[in-house]
Amino acid sequence: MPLCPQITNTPITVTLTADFTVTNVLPVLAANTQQLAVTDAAAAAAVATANAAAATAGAAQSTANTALANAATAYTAAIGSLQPSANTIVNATNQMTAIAANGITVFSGASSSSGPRVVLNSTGLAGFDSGGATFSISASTGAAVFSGSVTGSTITGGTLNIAGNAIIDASGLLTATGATITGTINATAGYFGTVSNGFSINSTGLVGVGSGLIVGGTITTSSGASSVSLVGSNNSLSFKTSSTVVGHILPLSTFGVLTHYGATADPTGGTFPQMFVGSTGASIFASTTIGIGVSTSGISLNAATGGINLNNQTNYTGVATGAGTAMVVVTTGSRVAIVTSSERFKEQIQYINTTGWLDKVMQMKPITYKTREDFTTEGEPNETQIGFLAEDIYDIGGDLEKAVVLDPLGEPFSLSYDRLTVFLTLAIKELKAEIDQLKGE
Amino acid sequence: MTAFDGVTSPAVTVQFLMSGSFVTVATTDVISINIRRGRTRQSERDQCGTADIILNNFSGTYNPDATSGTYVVGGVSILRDGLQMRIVATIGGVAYNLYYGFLEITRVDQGEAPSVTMTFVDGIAYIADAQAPALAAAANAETAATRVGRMLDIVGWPSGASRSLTGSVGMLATVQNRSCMAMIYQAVDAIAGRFYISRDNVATLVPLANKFSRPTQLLFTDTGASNTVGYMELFTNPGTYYVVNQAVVDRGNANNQYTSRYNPSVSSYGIAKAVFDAPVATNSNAENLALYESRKLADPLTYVERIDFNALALGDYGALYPDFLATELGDQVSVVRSGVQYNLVVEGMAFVIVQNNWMMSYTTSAINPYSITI
Repeated sequence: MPLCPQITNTPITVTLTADFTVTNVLPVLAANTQQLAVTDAAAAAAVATANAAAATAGAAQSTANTALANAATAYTAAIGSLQPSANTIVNATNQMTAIAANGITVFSGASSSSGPRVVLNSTGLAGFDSGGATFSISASTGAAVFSGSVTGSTITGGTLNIAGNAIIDASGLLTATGATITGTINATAGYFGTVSNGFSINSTGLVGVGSGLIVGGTITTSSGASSVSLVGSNNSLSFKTSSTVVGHILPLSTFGVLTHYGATADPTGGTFPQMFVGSTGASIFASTTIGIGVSTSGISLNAATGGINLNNQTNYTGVATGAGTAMVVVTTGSRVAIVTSSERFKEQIQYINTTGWLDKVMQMKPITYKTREDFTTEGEPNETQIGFLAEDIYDIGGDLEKAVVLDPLGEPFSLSYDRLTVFLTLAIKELKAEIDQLKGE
Repeated sequence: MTAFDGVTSPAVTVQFLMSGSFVTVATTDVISINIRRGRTRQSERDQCGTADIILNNFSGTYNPDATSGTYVVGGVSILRDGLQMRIVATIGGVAYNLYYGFLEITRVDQGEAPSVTMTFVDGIAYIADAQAPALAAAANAETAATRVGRMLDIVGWPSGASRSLTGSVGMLATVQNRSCMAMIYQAVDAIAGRFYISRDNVATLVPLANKFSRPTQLLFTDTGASNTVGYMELFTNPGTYYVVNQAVVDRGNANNQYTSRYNPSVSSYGIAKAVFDAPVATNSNAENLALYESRKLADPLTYVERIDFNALALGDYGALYPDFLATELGDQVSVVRSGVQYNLVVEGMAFVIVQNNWMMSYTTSAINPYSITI
């Protein structure tokens, strides 16, 4: 760090003022000067050439002026020919265009307001023959109206789009959204879908379905107004599981309808389970069981034995078959049931030697009664009957309740009158003993 | 040299580069050191610096033909042309290079008091020896600093810290074959600047603006005031000797030459013309340069041209030595004589150092205040 006082040196800027004279000198280029030197002879030749060129140019200009004048004359004549009035233009075949304040009319003939013509004005474009418009395009809405048909061997273009609801694209694909077809579709041939996998429509209607499947959906006809007809060589409805035919519904000419299991029907019955409904009745053929409801618990008819099995109806309320031996049990209301009494159906057998049965029998109270109407059979007489009340017998007790049948709720339901004979027998034997004793005294 | 104790006055040593390291010459062998750097006045070029070293050679150590001794490596003395040498002054533990040079001439005195006089030149001598090739068009519009760097590359001057080049004026490519030094002087003229080899051996290019930003290192007075330096001699110069009021900037054969004349000066002193070989890139550069060169010396001013002083008399207890030793070409000093202060630029400096004396001489010029953006 310098110890002496620092000098402040403020520069003074030199600027160009009137005190200065500044000159700019280009160096002399001797070589270039030599290149610019030309001889008098060369200059004279150049002047002659220039004069000749000027003369040629003057002649060309004169020719051009003449051509221009001729062109102007021809132009005036052409304008007069093409435009007989300020607002009319005529072409070579005398077809005229009238230009008016409200538009342009192109017409052939004498009038722009009658006869064939095309008008383009503020309302759009319209074509006329001698009468009304044959076609029109609205300038405000773009709506196009044709009195004739749109015809042609080929209609090309992009997509025909009708308000987005019906679209025909360039490849012919028709897409209808929420469309309704009214009237009649007349078809002579063709398919919905492909030949092999679609519906075929011809002059006779919908005549076939391809090898494809109808998946889901419903075929619905108006109630009572029409029907679904199956017509063909097989004329049947077949049901398949995968590729296996498991059953058919088919008409049997004038006999009726046959519903059968398996791939082949057997109208005479026997081979496969099937059901026939004809004009004179109905028959069911089955190799094993014909069931109503659940076959093991409801009513079943055993085709092998010819029996009727009412398994889940107790013996006293219906008819059942045992294992090879038929029996009938009559329960109440004169209904018949078959019970077994043979020793071969019993075990742990003991003879009764007890007493007191006479007193119990003496408590039995016979009654007369009529069956309530809601338990009677229509058309059958409801006469006065005799019997006991199951509740009375059940209340006596002392094994007499064994002659009472209880319902599933444990309440007395019916009475086994055949079993009462056991107790009556015991009472008689007891009474006989007392008689014998009295005789002995 | 033992009189310079390194505490109250600098210890001055001479060092030779030997096997990659500087070795200090025995101070008892150093008879005298004579250094000259810079230029006499601002209108001149910076000259090649020289340092004459006279060594006591009674032992024959400094004989270039010696085959044994301190400075013999591999049977050959290193004291031959090109030997790198520096002169270092140290005070307060801080070393300052006073000079850095290359051995150019050796004179051996085999008389009754055997001695060797060795003359060391600075880098300018090597740059001046080289010839520059014609520059291709690619060198067009490169800055003055780039142009000088290109010349330094040609002579093999080290890059990096060995260069300090500033100058943004664009230069034209020249098709002429010139010496590298001539090409460098063109760049110096283009920026109205200065090129020299610093005391640290750095090739230095400074622009015009540098003159206004350098520090003022010393204040010379005849009053003996604190922190001032007493001078021995002041040489002044009548300013009319160096008036320049018409400048011609020559951009080269195929380009415009601008001539600027400062009319007030011409009307008083007649035309004093100077021509500048400055192939600057644009006409605007040339016009501004001519404007500046025709104005800066147009007003004659009597100024101090040289200051002689004894370096051992620098203030009390050597407080000014750091500033003195750090003084570089282009730095500023100030002189007060009979109450009049002259602000000066150090243009050159000369050292005469013997065992018990250290004489200094600064050549100076007035700080003319004119400046311009070239």
